Amino acid sequence: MSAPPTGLKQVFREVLRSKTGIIGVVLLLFITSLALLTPFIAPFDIAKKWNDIQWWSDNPVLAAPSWMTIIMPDKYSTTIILDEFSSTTTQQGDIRITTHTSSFRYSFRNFPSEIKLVLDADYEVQKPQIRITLSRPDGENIVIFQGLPNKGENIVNLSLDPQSQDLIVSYLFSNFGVAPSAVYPEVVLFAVKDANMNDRMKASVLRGIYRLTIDVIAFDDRTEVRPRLYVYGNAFGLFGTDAFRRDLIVGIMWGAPIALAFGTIAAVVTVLLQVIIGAAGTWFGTRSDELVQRVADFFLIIPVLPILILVNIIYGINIWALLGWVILFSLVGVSSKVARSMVLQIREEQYIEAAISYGASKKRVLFLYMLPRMLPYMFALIALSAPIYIFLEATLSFLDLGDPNIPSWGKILGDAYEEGALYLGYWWWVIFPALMIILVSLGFTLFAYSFDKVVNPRLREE
Amino acid sequence: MTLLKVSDLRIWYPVQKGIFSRLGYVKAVDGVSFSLNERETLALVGESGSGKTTLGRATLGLIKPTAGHIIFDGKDLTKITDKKQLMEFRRKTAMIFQDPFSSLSPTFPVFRILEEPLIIHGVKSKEERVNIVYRALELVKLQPVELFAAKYPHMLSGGQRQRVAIARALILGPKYVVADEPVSMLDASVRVEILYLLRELQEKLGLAFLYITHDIATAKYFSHKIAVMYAGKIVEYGETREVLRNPIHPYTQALISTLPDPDPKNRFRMMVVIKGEPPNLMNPPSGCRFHPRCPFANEKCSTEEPFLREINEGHFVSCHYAGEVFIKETTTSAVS
Repeated sequence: MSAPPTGLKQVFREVLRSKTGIIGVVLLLFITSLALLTPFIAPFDIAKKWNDIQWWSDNPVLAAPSWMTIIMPDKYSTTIILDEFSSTTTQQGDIRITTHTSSFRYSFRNFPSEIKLVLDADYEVQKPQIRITLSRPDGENIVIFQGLPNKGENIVNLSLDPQSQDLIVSYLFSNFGVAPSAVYPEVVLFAVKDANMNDRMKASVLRGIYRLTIDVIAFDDRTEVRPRLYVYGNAFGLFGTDAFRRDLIVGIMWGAPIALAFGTIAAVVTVLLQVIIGAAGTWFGTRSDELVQRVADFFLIIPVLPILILVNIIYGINIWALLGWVILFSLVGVSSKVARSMVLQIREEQYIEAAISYGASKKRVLFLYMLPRMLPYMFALIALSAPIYIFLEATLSFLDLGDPNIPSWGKILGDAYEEGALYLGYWWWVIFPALMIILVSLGFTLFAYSFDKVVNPRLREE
Repeated sequence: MTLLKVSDLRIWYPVQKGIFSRLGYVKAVDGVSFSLNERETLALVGESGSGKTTLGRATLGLIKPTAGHIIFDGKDLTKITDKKQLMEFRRKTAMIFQDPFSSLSPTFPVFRILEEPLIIHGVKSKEERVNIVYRALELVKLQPVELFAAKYPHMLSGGQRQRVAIARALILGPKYVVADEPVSMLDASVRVEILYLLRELQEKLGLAFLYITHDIATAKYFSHKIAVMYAGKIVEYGETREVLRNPIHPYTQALISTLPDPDPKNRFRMMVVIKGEPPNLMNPPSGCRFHPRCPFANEKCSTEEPFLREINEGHFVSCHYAGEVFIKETTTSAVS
């Protein structure tokens, strides 16, 4: 058995020789590059809007990842946005009639999840009159909206708007003589015409070219209406959306730098502090050794999580304050004990005595002669404790005690839990953030284990 | 001129069981006195556990003595409290260690190892430090110096490492160097080289050595005076030639008789091996500490403690029957 390598460079070379080391390093590199790229792909402005429900309203609600349309084309569809219209205008005295038309092909095998209409309107005094008709591939023309828009953006969710629902009910009544109490416009509009066309389960999808006609009757010259139509699917983005229409990829990507920053900063600072305090305590004398070790024992038995929850409830802290509290509760701890054992071992080496014999101060011996020897061990300790802090942050976020302003994996999981995502089958809402936490922890842990194997002679393979 | 004078030095380690009950003391060094002149080598000989290393370290102020005085260059080391004086003392003294694999910091290259004492003692200019370091490497014959200065200890052989350790000991220009078994962990071939080097350096730089060893053969080669330690006490002290030619204490006699003798005429001579083991220093034997193992011990030896007395000129022995008892070497006839 050879002696453990002392330099960090040699240790890294050894780590990269083991399979676990390679896997760990690859995982960490992946997460780190993700964390570094995130600010460029999704600027922080987007992450800050995480809690702004309005901002996400263009996305479908609870959509599965869009690649599910390839795997299961019968069940998943993507969103169709109709925002380019061709217009014709005729003037009849004071009245100006503008007709916007546009068409789209609906070829999915399932119904849209929602239909939303956005009317961007402007006028001088009198509101324009608007009538919107959907012409279906089977020749049916169904009026889906009739009304007077306000100035600015008018959002009409056809699936929820009572007026539009009434229009659909009257269509059903005139055709089949029934007026259902609950009506689903997104189904009726895209179903083959028969008595079951209001039933999502029984109706079949009518595929083909649909045409949207918007008639605007304007009463003054300034009047202008820009329509947009959203036919929401149930698949969106790489990781889908949650119940608040948020694109989960933003949360998952921003989770990486946040988890990494929190985990590594907490791990580096606490391990450094613990090692330095522990080593100094042991090195400077029996009494300080006793003091540090007993305080470490104390900190090891106090339950940090409940205390952090308490602190959080009282002060309502953000992520950096949380980091501060975590560090405060980890000034001494396990790593101090490791440092103690190492100091006891290193101080018996003759070069330490030699240093004293040529007049090196105790401080110099500690920082220049002893701590560099512990550096590889500190690295292993940091890599081992980083996932602990990532889990801690995730736990607090899950309990809704983390920083409320930024997305994190724990918070996404917490939201999913509150909405009963797994029970209701929204698996993408749970699996992806959980997978990220697992990957980061696995990366750190594998790396730490292979590191430990290199620096810890007891674990070295022959 | 006397450089170092140690008088009645005692180093007792308290042995504790739990926090309150004190079991007693390990008397590692118990009432030792000797003096060392400038440019002189004193060999401190004894088996492991006899307190020789403890004594050597105490003379460097690395261990605080329980009682007694260490007077170095006219100043009492046990009374130095001033940091400046202590640093002055540190500059004038140095130590060479037994294990060249553990006595050099593995994280520093040779240059940094040798530079450290200079930094600590305030040699400000880098250029000057480089000069001193290179000169020291030349002195210990590690050439080319630039090549060795850049190496890390793990790249060097045992002998080369010990040379670096010697260079480090000499870099501050000390007057007094404690060499704690400097060659016992080296290969036999390297051993002689290092001893030659040490002797050469002594002549060149005028060093005084305290040469701690369990090997009388190298002591004979290297030292001017010799002190034999047993169980924390000096039992015999004098000029090396005189002590080796005419050993008086039974313990010294036994030690010397164990030396391998190259003379083929003596090939059937039996070595006299002292029976038993060194005593437990927490509870040393009463009277003469050697009496349980001494072939000549009687009533008086177990009750009355002997003191060092001058038997011949400059030859001190601590034995009640000094000059009267001699270990006879038995000779066997041909091996049957």
